[in-house]
Amino acid sequence: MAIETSNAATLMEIAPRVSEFRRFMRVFFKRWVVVIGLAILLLIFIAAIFAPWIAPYDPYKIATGAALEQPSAKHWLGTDRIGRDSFSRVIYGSRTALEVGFITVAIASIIGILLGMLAGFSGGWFYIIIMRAVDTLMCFPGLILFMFLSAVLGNGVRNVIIALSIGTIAQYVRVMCGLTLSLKQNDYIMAEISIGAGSFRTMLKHILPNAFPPLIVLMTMQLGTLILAEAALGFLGMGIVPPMAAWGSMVNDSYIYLQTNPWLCFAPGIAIFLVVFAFNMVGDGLRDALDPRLRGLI
Amino acid sequence: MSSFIIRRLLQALLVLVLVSILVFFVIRMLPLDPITLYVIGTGNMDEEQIKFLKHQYGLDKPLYVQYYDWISKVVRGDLGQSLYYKDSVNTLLAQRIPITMYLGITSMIISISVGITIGMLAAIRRGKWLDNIVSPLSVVLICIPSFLLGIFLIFIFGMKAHWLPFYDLVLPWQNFGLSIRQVIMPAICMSALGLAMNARQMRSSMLEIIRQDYVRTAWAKGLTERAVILKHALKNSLIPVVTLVGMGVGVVFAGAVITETIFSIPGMGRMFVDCIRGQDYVVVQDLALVFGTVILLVNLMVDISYSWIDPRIRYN
Repeated sequence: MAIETSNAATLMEIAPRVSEFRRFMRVFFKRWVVVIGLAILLLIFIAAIFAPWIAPYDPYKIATGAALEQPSAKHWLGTDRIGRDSFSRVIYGSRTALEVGFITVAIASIIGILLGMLAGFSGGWFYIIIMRAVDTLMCFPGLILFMFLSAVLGNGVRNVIIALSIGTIAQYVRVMCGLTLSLKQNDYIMAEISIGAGSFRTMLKHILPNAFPPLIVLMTMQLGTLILAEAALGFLGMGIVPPMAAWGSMVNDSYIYLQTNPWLCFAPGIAIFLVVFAFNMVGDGLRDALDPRLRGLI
Repeated sequence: MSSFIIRRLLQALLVLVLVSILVFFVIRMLPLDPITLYVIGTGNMDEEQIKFLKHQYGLDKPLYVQYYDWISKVVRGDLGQSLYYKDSVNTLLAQRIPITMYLGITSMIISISVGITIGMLAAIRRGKWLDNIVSPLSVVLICIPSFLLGIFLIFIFGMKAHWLPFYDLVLPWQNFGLSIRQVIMPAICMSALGLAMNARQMRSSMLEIIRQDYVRTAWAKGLTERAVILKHALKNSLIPVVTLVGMGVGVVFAGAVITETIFSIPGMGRMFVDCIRGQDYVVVQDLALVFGTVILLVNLMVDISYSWIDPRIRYN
């Protein structure tokens, strides 16, 4: 008897899990734009990881004799105003972009999710304080807040990451707080609390996993937005500044040569567009594939 | 309704105070005080001068006194003196606000009117050529960095085709024809993101609405398509777009920073960039407060008008 019930229980638990994964894959890969996005991401990851082997030249090597050359077989995208190979710098720029994007999303999401969950779960004064703080930060348009913070923090990769993280925490707090408030209404949370589970156990074991699908979509989309924000700062001459190879500052650096050497601006600009596009499309695909309304239908 | 407005006003007032505290104390987190940093930036370190300026700006007083001095002046409409421009911030803003408003209003008109029209047409002609163009185009406009869009426009229409001028913006009351020609590219650059977001939101909410029963009733009683869409479906599908229009002001400010830098337009966004680069933190602090306050007021207006359009909101 005991064996029978446990068998039935395992069967019932395992069966939907397998189909869940296959359903996810099928929905995710159904749209061709999502597949293109994934392919672009793969290429950019390869470029970032194997940069020293892919890039034909040293991105920091100055050759004033070969400055502002037009694109040719030797220099695919030409050379910038102090003779550095633009193609190599675009390849190395993918490292900077991904580094800033991933570290910022990690910091902002961990802090934001924890604060949002605590605020939503505990309610009361803590909720009010956190929410007013979020309102305060949300009063500034994204780029203005990033500029303001990085004006105070100064330039460099580390400071840009700090500025972008502080600027995005509020969004995670708001989303997570809303999710916690709605998940708290569910019967299984009530049941968990009534059998005597502690607040931390309920939050970590039940609320966090159930809030995960929308959060992973937000994080994917944010990677694109943050890389765009970092590039915008670089373009304005803040944040990551030359000689470091970063796409935004490359556009800023060669903007005055637009008439004669347009590819110096276009190439890093298009690279930014492709990354943002790819993360957005993959995020879109994840949202469709993780949509609970489709569960059990396909 | 009035209790909702009062509650919302009090909340906004609290957030406004918090915004000013945030702006003030973030600037105080600098490793040195603003005056010393500015003087170091200009290259001639003079102890006496620093001491004099610090006293003049009240930086030798305790922090809470400094905050009180600053905020009480701001409330009376005095934003202080800029070190970088060597002029009062009020005068500087009086010159720059009309320019940014000219750009901002033009681009908001474009993004709202074009965005809503395109989104509506895409929804009612679902699957036709317009709909098939709108979706990928709005994705491209959302993902493209606005500086890249601006650079493309300058390169194609300014440098290669010589169709449009891209420097020395004049205001419409100075030279109307030239001003309109000059504003086309910056306005496209600033409105692209908002336009795409409005079109997307309008398309999806319109698709939702035209499936409703009352729209079917409108069709059934023999109304023309024009009457069904414009009289019955449009109003209700505009509700979610109102929020986006509010957010559009934030998009305009962020866009102004980039656009005014690319097209070298002397507006508020350009001033913000220049003061950060020139380490004039007195102005950076003021401008951050101005931006935050405007967005706060816009959000307040959106919330109140939203609750007026859709009464269900008031009770949540």
